[in-house]
Amino acid sequence: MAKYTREEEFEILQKIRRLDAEGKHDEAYELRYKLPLPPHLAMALKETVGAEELKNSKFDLSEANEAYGKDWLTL
Amino acid sequence: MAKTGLLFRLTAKLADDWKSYQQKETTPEALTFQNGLKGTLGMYKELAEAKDPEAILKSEQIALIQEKEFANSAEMVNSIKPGLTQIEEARQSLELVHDSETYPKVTAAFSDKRKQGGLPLDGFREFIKSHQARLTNRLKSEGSHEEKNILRQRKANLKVANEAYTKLQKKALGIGNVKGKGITR
Repeated sequence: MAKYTREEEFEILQKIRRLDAEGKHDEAYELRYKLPLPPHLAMALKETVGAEELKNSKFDLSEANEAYGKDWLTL
Repeated sequence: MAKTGLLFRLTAKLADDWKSYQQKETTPEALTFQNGLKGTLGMYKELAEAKDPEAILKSEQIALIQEKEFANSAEMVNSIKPGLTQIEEARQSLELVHDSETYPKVTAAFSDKRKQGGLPLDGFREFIKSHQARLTNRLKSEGSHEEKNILRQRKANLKVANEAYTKLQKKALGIGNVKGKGITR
């Protein structure tokens, strides 16, 4: 199940834009990490930076876990 | 006889498409998307400044995987898939070029056709060449200014990667920093 509704996600995106416009880029990134990473991008990171680095990252991998099964990072 | 009525109706339909496209492009969602692309462009510029061929290669791998997700035609998929295969070959070349024992042996048999400026057009250089062409083709098609700026920056990043990589090739092949075409010692 999606973590955020479409409306909630859009609100977060707008907040990210506002923070970036105010030069608060670190805060903007913190919010970005809260949005579940789309599964294809999670897989792209597994292939490029590796599973271990990804596991230790701040990314929310809930959508990828749902799409690929919870063991996808160890397979 | 020209089918005037048919052409009028087609033009009226295109005008309708145009108007509704303009409406769509000014929705808060579309503006949020376009505005976000400016930040993405900044990230690609940061990558260029790092001058790291491996990071640039991986950034293109991530971008191609995302584009495969967006692809809505067999033609697009058929352009992206070879790109991803070439990235794997490029990655192998990038590993090999750091080995000054093996790299000269592997590339010694390259014909002149597979050389540029006296340097081997190996997997890495081949990827850069065809990916530049792939991005150029995308620049010729529709897209917003922001999207085109990102494509241009990605091309610039490939140039940066190519320059850094040819330095590695020269080092592996024991070629001095002589200006001109592939002058070997």
